[in-house]
Amino acid sequence: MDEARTPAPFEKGGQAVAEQGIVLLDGPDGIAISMTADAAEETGSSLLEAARTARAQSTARG
Amino acid sequence: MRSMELFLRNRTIAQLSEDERAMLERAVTERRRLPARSTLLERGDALRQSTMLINGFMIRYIDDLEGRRQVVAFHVPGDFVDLHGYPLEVLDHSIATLTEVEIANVPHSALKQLTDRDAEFARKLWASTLLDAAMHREWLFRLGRLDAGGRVAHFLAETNVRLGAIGRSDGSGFDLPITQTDLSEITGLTSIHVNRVLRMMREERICTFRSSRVEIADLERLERIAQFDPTYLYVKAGVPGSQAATMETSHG
Repeated sequence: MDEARTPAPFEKGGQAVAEQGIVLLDGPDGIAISMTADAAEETGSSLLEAARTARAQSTARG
Repeated sequence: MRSMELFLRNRTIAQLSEDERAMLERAVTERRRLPARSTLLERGDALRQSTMLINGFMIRYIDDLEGRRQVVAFHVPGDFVDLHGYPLEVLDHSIATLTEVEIANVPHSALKQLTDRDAEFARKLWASTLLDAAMHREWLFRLGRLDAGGRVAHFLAETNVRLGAIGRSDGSGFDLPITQTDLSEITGLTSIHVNRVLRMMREERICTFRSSRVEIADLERLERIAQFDPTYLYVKAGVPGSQAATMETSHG
């Protein structure tokens, strides 16, 4: 499999919107999900925490 | 209309002669109507016959442990809904009607007789199951790689071509008597998400889906959003909707 087709982390974030009291997340790529506001907040917090950890890991690796 | 009138119409993968069509017609033992929203077969059912869809729309689906449904195939008139059940003998998914339908049953014993004596006819029936397989592969791509807009657009573009092959779409519009919930189960989205996508498509003058009717205002843009290339449908040139939009990259 050539490098261009090796699955890689997405560099562009998804877009979240509110619709009829539900959060819709589109992207990146094939992600298309709906969540309650509570679930979206929980997911968002989890993503932020993981992003902080990932940045620290990247920094540690140099 | 004859039960087999629409089977493999306008497909390049296999074409039935009128004699073959008549032969299959004679193998039909029963024609009947089923109401909308009724289950024809459940996952795990043993099969003794295959079902030709004459009129209406049907789905094949799998429910998860919490009862949420994923539609794994959408059937239009002229489809042999479970021809693959002949060699498989047991169904690995469920089959239900979305609308009132008319179906014709062909016993597996009759299919065996026909295919035992005519290898070319057997190849054509095999080819029709491969059409299903091609759509399954494309649906995998749709659900795995396309965002909400792409998934809805892809389903509409695909249905446009499939119905065009049987004369039920002129390429710019077709009847589609399904609900937004059905569309959500087909595309792996929630109804709210589908509703938003359809609203955006309407506001951007791409297509409308209203009162069981799809009207496509901008087919090229619909197909571009869908990354739609109809090659996998194996339809003859000239079938409405079968000219793919120019794509910068091909996923094929």
